Amino acid sequence: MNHNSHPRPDEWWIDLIEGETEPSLSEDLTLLLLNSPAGRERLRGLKELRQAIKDSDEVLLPEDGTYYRDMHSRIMAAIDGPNPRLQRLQTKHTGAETGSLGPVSRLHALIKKN
Amino acid sequence: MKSDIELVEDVKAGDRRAFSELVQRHQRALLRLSLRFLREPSLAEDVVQESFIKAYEKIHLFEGRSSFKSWLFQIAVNTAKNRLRSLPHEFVNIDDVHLGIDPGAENGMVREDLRKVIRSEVDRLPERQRLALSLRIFEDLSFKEIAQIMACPYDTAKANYRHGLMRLKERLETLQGQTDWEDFETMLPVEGGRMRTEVEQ
Repeated sequence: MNHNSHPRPDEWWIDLIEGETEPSLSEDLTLLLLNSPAGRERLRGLKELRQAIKDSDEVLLPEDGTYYRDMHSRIMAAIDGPNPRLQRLQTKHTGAETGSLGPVSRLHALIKKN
Repeated sequence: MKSDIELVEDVKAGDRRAFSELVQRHQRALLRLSLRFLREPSLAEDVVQESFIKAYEKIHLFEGRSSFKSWLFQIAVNTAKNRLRSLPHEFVNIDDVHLGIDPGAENGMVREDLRKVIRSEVDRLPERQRLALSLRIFEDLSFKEIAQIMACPYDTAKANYRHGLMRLKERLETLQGQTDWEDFETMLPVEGGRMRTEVEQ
């Protein structure tokens, strides 16, 4: 194998990053990394791309334990009801009708706060 | 502490409290997954509740060949997909992303714009590539779990992930070629020796 040859296809580098490299390729890729600056550069670029995607995550969850206790209660109440799907809707409507800060509004508020 | 599988067996035997424990264990992860796909908190919360209800109703069908979490995620993904199909698609238009940055003056805004671009491009991926990529990178799931959730062979799950990642790389390289914006180039992590990283600067 010529370790100074062109860099391997991206699939191989992706598998390496994900710990999915086939054992038969592992040794070759290790040698290639030692001998190929271009290969190292491609590997580094893909690692950085993966990290940038992870960093782009915008999902923020509420930290308030009350929110999850309420959600849990609603799910269990729905399951205990005679018709779970109907019960789910009734539970949600009740929250809105009382004028209190309903579960959805609370989630909105908590996410904004975070 | 009982395992998920043991709790499922208890639920099948009629123990409602066991399902309560399963809800407690997984509701947060399910909400995160639903929010990632739906973005809208009210819809995400609906999907979480509906998924647990479906799981309870169909728990006798769960045979333990996958983890309970994978099975639950599979239900949530399908439920979320059905919701998404009923909604109009809304993408962030690349043209709307603010690029008029005074170099070096507004790095926080630059980073936010980069995140927007990446999020937008992830949203544009074909559904199965986006799903595989999200489950792997955001949820840290194994390809075995991803295959179970996507109801496909292991190699197919991995191929969807790879293709999604490579398509993103190509799109970001194309975008880089379309702008003279230097800061964008310095922060975009694409290999090939043409881009620098923040660390190197």
